Amino acid sequence: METLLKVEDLKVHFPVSKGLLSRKSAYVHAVDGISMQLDGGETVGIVGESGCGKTTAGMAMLNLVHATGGRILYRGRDITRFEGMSRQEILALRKNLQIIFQDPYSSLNPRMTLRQMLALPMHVHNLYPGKERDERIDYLLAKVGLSPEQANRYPHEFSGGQRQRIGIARALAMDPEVIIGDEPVSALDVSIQAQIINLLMDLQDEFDLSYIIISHDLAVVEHVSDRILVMYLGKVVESARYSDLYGKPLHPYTQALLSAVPPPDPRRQHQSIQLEGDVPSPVNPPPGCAFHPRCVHCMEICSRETPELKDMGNGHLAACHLL
Amino acid sequence: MPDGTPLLSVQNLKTYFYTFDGVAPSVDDVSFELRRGETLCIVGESGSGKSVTALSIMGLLPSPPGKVLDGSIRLQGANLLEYSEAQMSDVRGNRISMIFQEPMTSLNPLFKVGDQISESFIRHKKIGKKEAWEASVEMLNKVQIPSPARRAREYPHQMSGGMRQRVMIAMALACDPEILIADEPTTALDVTIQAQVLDLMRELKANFDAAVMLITHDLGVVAQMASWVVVMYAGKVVETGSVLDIFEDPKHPYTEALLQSIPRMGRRKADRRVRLQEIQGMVPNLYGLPRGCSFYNRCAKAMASCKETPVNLTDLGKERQVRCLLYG
Amino acid sequence: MLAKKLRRRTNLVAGTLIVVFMVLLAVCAPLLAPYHPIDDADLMVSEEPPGVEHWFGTDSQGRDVLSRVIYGARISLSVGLISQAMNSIIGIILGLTAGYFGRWWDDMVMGLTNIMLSIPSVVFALAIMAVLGPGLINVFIALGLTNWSYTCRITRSQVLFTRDLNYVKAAEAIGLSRARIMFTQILPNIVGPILVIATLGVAGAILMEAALSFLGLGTQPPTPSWGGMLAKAREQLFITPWISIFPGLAIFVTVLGLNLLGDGLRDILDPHSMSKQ
Repeated sequence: METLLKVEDLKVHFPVSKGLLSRKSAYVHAVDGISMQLDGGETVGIVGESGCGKTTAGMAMLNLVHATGGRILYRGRDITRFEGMSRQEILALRKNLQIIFQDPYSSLNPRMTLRQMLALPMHVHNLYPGKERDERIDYLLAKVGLSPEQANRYPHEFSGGQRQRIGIARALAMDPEVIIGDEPVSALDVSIQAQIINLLMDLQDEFDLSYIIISHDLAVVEHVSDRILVMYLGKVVESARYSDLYGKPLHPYTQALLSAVPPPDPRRQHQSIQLEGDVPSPVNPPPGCAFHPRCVHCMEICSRETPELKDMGNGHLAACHLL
Repeated sequence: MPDGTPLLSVQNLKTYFYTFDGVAPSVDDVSFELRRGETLCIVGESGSGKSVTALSIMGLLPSPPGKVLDGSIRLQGANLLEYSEAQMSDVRGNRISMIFQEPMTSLNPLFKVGDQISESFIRHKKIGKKEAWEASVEMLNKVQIPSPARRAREYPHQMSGGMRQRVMIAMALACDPEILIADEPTTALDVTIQAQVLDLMRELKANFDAAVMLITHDLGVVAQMASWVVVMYAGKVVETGSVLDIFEDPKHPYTEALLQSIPRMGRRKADRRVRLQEIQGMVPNLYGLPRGCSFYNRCAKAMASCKETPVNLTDLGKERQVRCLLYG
Repeated sequence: MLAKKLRRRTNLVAGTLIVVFMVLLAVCAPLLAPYHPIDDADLMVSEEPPGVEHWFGTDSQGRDVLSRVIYGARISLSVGLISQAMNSIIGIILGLTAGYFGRWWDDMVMGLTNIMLSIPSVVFALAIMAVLGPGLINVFIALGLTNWSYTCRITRSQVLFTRDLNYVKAAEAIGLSRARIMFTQILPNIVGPILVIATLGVAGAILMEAALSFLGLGTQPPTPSWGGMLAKAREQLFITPWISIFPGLAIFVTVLGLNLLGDGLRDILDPHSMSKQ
């Protein structure tokens, strides 16, 4: 399968300005050098807790947030920060790289009807002119499980699950190749989550889409992903096929993360690996391995040297001095 | 099976909301009991009425538009609904405590954490400021916050989410309440922090001997924390039972469908992604509930009679109850 | 649904009625005024108190006060509406761009806004009038350049909040140009507070015009304007009170109506844009 999206050492650092003349005195290392690739038809999952940078990474890939370092390549072409690209080229990129947001309440313009929302991308990209446009809108709505009669309604007239479907329809409107789902089901009721997950998977099969699913919900990510990246404080600490990650997690953080999820089975009284302290803030990441202050297996070297991502066999990468 | 008379007995509670858009029966004829030493989980999604139930018990309903119309809430036999505001204020924080989902907004940003805990002591135990402060530091220690004396002097914004939640727990347990109500206490927390807080709650429950009423939508949390489960849907109780019964032998189609629809870790066998067992349709709008079963339009086992016939709770014996025409 | 909501909004209803009434007065002045405000000047009946012939009495030139008040509405309302429109346009453009683009442009606009806010608006308007000279057109210009700072600030803060919302990011992801995003995605969603400020601004402009006319810088006699009428009658306030009471009342009622309208609009627009399921 060809590689669609390749991310090399992506960094996103936000300045925290202090002082009257905005001298930048500190940086938030939101994303601190991550690399990954997305092949055609694949789903890559990115998991992590708050502050790990997964959402920022997703946004940076679409240039909705400025990357401060590293490269993003689409079909081999450097598209980092959309530098040196004409408006035409940018539009072509935007057509192919789409995003679905977490919050179904803030991701839809309250003043636009569904029809207007779905027509907008087509209008911008000059696709489906004239009568075809309405037909396409009806088609999209039906595909995501909404009825075309609802096209003239406003977002506030729909439930959370329906609004998420609208967001998906919007992302689909331009026939993209890649869709980034930023916590696509986290804000939804449990009984609706399965519907949306199934919908995403059905659409992937039907339209040959490739997904990057960003989530903190490990069960959801395991269910939909082929490969999974685990992020901590802006870095990838482990990357593997889903079966390898969940079956044999190598990094202590991944192990703790997986053990922390309470299993919905009352017979399994799970003992989670207790981590000391809190998830640290990305403004002042600890020296060496970012995880070392909380790691049960912390060694002397961990506070000095940042471990590199090493291939431990079979494409299973982990960054830990223990290995 | 837990013994003794119920510590808290909610009977036929009806709390409705009166708004521009109509009347919403947020809690409609809800009954359950909480016994000493028990952890009762109320499971439900948005609109199920689980939070409104807790607020009704605490007397914290926004009123208007909310109003308790009927039923009784008995704490050791005394009906809280008949209490005056002054009497309720003696109960809150003292005999029944509550912790909320969002620790940032539940703590006053202007006061030190130690002062906020002290308030509880001063109000209910009638002790002086100095004594209360020391007791607060001790509480912070009990909720496993390191350097409690230093932390007590900090403000909420100086603490992380997990720590703030522990402070809330400290505040809630300060006066040794008989009941702790926790409304989605870990939903806003990261999963590793959630694990810490849940472990803490389990330990504290053992040490403080409080009965816990845990409200959540997370079935994993229910499985790990509950001894008894009440499942709510659209304002009504649809099933009750022990946690083992609910998970291994769910009776109500909603409970069954919910358990089947959640993705579980470690379950995926095939490389090819498998469709989840989804539940069709949406949670109903409280302003236009059907005459019959509220779950009718989503139920895989619906019968013709379910649409129009009002459904009552059926007692299946051994503390099991279901609200479904399949059973009675 | 709408009717029920309107019934609860006494402010909105009352305000709208008053404003509409005043606008009608202004528009239909020739039909409503019993006399011509300037030409029907009969010195024989000058300074007559209110009576059957002249409901509001006559002024020192023998002109019917009622007619002059009705025609005065034209001046006051047009000044209010036009100058506020200018203020709003300036404020919106500056606020939108400052909030959306940020950085040095934002700093500049905010600096300018702060300067404007620290100068009392009457003084500023006077300064412009001093340069341009008296006259109605110049009043439009002066007032139109004076009060944009509030709109600018509100717009900017609304933009700061809105531009981080996901639907704006979604619009960027679709490929909309920045200008289109500002005007078609952000602006329609922040119109509420801007509109409220605008209604209050109209009221303010009317008062300012009255002040300028009072000082002799606004409309020049014999054109009737409420402020001008107040000015002229000032010395004789206790002798011929009706000449100043009625224009004063007209100002009061109009400003009150606009304030109620602004209040009511704020109530309506706020919960709607924040409506959750």
